Amino acid sequence: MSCAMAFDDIREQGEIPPLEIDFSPERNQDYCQFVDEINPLHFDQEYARSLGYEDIVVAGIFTASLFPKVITDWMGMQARIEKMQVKFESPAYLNETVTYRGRMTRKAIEEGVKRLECEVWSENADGERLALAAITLRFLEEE
Amino acid sequence: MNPDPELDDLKKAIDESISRMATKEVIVRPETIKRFCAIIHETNPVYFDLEEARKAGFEKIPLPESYLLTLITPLSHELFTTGIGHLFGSVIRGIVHTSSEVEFCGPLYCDTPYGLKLECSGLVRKRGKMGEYLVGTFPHKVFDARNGLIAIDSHVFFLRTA
Repeated sequence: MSCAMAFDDIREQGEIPPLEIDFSPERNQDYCQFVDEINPLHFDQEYARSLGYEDIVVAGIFTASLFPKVITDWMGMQARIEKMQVKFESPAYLNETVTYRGRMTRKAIEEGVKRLECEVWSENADGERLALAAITLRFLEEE
Repeated sequence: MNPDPELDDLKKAIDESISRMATKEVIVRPETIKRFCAIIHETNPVYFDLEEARKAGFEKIPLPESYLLTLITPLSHELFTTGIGHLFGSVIRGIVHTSSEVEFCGPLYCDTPYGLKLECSGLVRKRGKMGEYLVGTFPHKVFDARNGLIAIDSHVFFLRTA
């Protein structure tokens, strides 16, 4: 859990604590059941291979759901996400452990609103980047 | 511009399907959020405890920002099943989600009615390392009970052609 931060103490280019998640078959199945997944790419290995993938691909909406969590684990409720752009670059396969890393790229006060911009990416155990997210946060006033 | 009847026919089919889709009314219950949080290992009490939520400045228990992508999923599922599901095999071989652009206009809450609406803002043909595909951009919009826009998530899908 995060602790309270002061806007002035947040360092540009500072690292965001990483988050590691194991996309195990059980977790993937739980998510597929949760969303009533219809795309066989996310649960049928034979179908995934017929499209040229090595294995079952974990759904983008699932892997992308972890990007906001990286931010809230770091900032807690001190900031709200305003925008998030996610680009999937390589598939996250079933059974992969994916690490989400990030850094704060810019902070600014615009018309009295404190904003932070962050770059967060996910990578597999080989260090291959799987997805990249650009996230803009609105920093809430300290009490 | 070269004529592309396959692309035009598919865009027409998508537009017709979307025009038939009513705004989907949803209310997310706390039990649903507990289940989602268990899957992503989210333990922040703000998402489970009203008192904690209020301390953090929310009027009700908020939905995790992570949940937006899941919330809007029924829209694309409906499009790709009852909407244009009949084209799978003959026109479309597979769907791959390649990017998302999310914008929040405010927090989303548990036990609160929202309307979900799907659009298709573009469909173009491209060729890449995995072959030829059509690229569709699908804004998924979330409205509150007063029809105010609360969030938008534009998914880009690659539709692999048969």
